[in-house]
Amino acid sequence: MGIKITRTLRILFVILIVVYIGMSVKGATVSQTSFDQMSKVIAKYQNKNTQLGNNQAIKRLYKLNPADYEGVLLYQPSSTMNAEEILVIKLKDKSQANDVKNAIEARKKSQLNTFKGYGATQTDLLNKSIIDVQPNYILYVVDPQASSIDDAFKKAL
Amino acid sequence: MAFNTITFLFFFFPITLLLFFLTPKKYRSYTLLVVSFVFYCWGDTKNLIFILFSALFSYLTALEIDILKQENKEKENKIVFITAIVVHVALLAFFKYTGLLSMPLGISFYTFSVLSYIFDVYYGKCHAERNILDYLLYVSFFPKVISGPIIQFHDFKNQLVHRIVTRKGVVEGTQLFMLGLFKKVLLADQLGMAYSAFHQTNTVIGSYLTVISYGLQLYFDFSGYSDMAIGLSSIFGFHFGKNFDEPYTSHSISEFWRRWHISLGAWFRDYVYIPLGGNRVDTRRHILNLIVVWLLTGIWHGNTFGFVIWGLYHGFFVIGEKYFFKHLHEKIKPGLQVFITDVIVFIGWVFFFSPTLPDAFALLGRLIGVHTGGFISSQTIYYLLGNGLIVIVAIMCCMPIVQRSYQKIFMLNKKRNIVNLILQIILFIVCIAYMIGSTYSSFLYFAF
Repeated sequence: MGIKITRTLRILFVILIVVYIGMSVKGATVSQTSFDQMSKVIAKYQNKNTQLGNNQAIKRLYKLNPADYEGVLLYQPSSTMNAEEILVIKLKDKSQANDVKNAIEARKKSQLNTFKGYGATQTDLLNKSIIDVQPNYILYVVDPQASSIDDAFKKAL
Repeated sequence: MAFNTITFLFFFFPITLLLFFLTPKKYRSYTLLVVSFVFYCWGDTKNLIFILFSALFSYLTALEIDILKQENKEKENKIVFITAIVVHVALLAFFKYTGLLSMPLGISFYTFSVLSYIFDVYYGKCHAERNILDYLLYVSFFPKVISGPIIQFHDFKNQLVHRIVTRKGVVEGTQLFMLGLFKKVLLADQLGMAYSAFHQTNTVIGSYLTVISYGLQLYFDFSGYSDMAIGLSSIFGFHFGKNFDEPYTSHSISEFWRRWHISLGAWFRDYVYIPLGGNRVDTRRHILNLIVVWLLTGIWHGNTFGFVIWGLYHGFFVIGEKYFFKHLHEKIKPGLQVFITDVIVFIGWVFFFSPTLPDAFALLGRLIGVHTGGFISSQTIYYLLGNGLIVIVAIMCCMPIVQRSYQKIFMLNKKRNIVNLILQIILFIVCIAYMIGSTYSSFLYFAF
């Protein structure tokens, strides 16, 4: 391969990398997935350790008003001895992301305090929990399968 | 896909082995290339295109460097070389430090492998690889692609050309893989539970146990992964050196870094420290070179100040041992040297695992009795009773005598082949039972 071809191809690949990254960043702006579609994906991961939470539960546990968002789905622990929990929120706009993230972190901290001292398994689950902030979706998952649930969430975006 | 998953152990690996041995010898590298891409896609489909583009860019860069060398165009060559380094470092920095996109799996290890290739070609350690498939195998070889060891290109190329798959290599590789699985599943994951438990306490003893359990977990987790990676490579005919060599028995911090994550240390030595002049410069410059290396080591691990401080902290002791307290160090008895080295290393881990600097300093404070919940509490005793044994077992497993005993008992040898084989199978079954019975646990170094 001559130097001219090598150089041209080399530059071409740099351009392709930049374009790919640019498109990925742009593509990461908003997901077109409807909240119903997302809920169906996440619902597959509900088990006996969690139960569907209503709007009151969202207000009580996260101090968030569900009406402020395009969609909120909560699977809360089915008993006080469980730490498993899944929360998915579709934001109306990106500026809400920080407040939701802070609310989730506060909830996680509160749960860690609750289990402090006696619930090593629950604490371990909480420490391995995932908060995945996407431009218009946020997932919080405390579950032994947290990574798989997060993967499914990402794929559904 | 991690090595400690049922999918890997019972599906991916057996199928890979089958395909590898069914393929005619001449084409086995290509089988490995295909399965390596499948392995990578399993964990990160989105970024495969990026990895491919980036690998092709470095492949072409090396070709261009080779051509310019032949034409004696040094100045132009230097520009191409520096541009390539800048592009790869900038990409790593973009993914690792901006947080705009999810990090491609293993990008830190991938980037260092690619940079090693460009350095090797530029400095004449090897010629540019013409066979693009061989080069892509170097970049994507599944045992090492996610968390190393970082294999330098000239080493890999030699193995690619001259490797022979032998029965001995397969047996030794399998045994090393088993040792790694044992370290990960039976030690690291249990130590992770202990660490989580101790971390909840705020007593002096609880804080010491937090630091000790993390340091042990990290060692068994990463050295376990490395053993599995090196073992798998050996099965396919690639023989790579150790990545860990009983680091907690080191007599100094300098020695510790010759025994801990050896491939990363070698990378920084060969591609940063030596090009900067190494120790063949005056004292001031040498100290500056060491500071640069340790600063970069810290930054490579993460983007928080904790990692920077952790890197510089180690640099401080390496420089100190060389110039400031060398004589004092030599006067200390060997046993005490090991103890002091471990104390320094374990204190350093506080910066490594603490999410923020205030958290790190709060924990360090508790180690000396500042803002604690007392020296020991009933809660600490409760956790100690539940997790003390695994900590003691792990400490013992760091000792050379235990490691040698393991080799005698579990590694196959001519005298006791059958007994050792049965023991290996039992160990494997126990590991599987633990894996099935517990939550999946990723490897700590996947995060870097």
